[in-house]
This record gives sequence, C-alpha cells and structure tokens, in this order.
Amino acid sequence: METYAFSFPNTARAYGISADILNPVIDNLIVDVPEKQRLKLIVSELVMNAYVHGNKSDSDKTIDVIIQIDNEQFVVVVKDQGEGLKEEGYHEMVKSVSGESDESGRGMKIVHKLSDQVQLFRDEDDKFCIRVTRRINSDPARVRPGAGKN
Amino acid sequence: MKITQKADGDINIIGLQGRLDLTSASELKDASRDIIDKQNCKLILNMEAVDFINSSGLGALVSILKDVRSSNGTLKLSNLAPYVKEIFDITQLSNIFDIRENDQIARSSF
Repeated sequence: METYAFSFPNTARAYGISADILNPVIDNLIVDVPEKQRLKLIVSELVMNAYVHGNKSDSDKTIDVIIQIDNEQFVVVVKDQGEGLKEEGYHEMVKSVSGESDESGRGMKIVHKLSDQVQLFRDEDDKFCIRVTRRINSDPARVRPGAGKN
Repeated sequence: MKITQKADGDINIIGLQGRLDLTSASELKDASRDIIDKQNCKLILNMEAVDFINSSGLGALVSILKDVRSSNGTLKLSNLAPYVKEIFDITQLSNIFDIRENDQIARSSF
C-alpha cells in the first residue's frame, strides 16, 4: 500500500492551499475523473471539518492528512487536535435530515454517503482521527497502473 | 474562483469557474449581492466551469436561493457537470434547486 503523509497549520491560508497539495496526489493515482472527484470531495470535507469543527480555527493547532491507496481501496486519515466526535454523535449527525434552508451540516453526510467505512479514534498522541475507506475498482481506467505497488 | 456576470434582458446570468468551496463561497455571495437585493430578480448561475464543489459551496448556493426567494426572485442553475449534479443528488438538493440543462432552457423557463 502506498502512503502519503502531510501536516498543515490550522489556518485559513493553509486550508486554501491544502487542496493544491492533496489533489495532485489523487490525480496521480486515479485515472477515472468522477472517481477522483469523489475522493477529492471526501478529503476536502474531512480537512474542512478538522479546520472548522475539530480545531475550531485555532491557528496554533495542526491538521494531519494521511492518504493510502492500493488496487482495492483508498484510505484517508485526517487528524485534528479537537475534542473529537463520539460514534453516537457521528451517526446522529449523518442520519439527521438537512432542512431545505440549512446552509451547513452536509459535509459529513457527503463523506458518509461516499464511504464504505468510517472509523473514529484517538491516536497515540491523543489526536482525534477520522479514517475513511472507499473501495475502488482495480480497473486500470480507474486506478493508475503501479499505484499501491511499493 | 472566477465569476463573470452578464444581463440578457431582465435575466442576469452569473458564470462560475473553478472551485466552489469554503474559500470561494463568500466571494460568490458578495458577487451576487447586488442582483439578489433587487425585487423579483431572475438569476441563472451557470456552473459549466465549476470543476469542484463541496458542502461549503452548496451552503453558499442555499444562502443565495434563500435570499432570492425572500425578494420574490427566481434562481435557476444551469450546465451542471455530471459530477457536480451527483453531489446535488447525494445531498437531495436537486429537489430544492431548479436545475436546467443549459442557459437557453433556463431562460425560457422563467
């Protein structure tokens, strides 16, 4: 499995450029355009969630992003230094119905819909981690040959 | 995000290009403010060149829709790429927005 790890300061500017750093990784690994867009969306929502809700825009904190891929699955782990989210809270959040006029609250629902597995835990440094797995077709049209063959 | 504006009679068309996310959401709301504030506005957001949208971008569109409705106006979205349409379907926002295939169809539907 191929692994890519990044760490960003928890600032608006870093959030803005995180896509410029993370998206080329996905572009390099995935060929299929709709699939790479879905993966970019998952990563974007998780990073934004860490920046806004996890680290609460505190610029002294950091966001860590780990992307792993092989021929069968795409895994992204996003870590923040916030209070975290409990399993029950997560399930309540993703199952709740967004109102027609709600301007927020759709991010994690999108992640949930596009994912095969979502795990919440704390790492050895007590950072809150969301680990999302999405199965990917090993069709060469979807995964660039050589991806995950380290 | 690049934002362009043009008027076609009493219909305003705003063209969006690039990423519609947390950093560009307020830019879009600011750019559409003058149009939305007018009573009975007719607005088309052409999303043909939007290559990425996330929940913040969707939130900005919901905000614009609310403001347009509150001034008795009408908002239509046009030219959504299949990937962008998929996000509207996932979030069920395709039931809330009036989404048209292209500007011509959107114009004739006012």
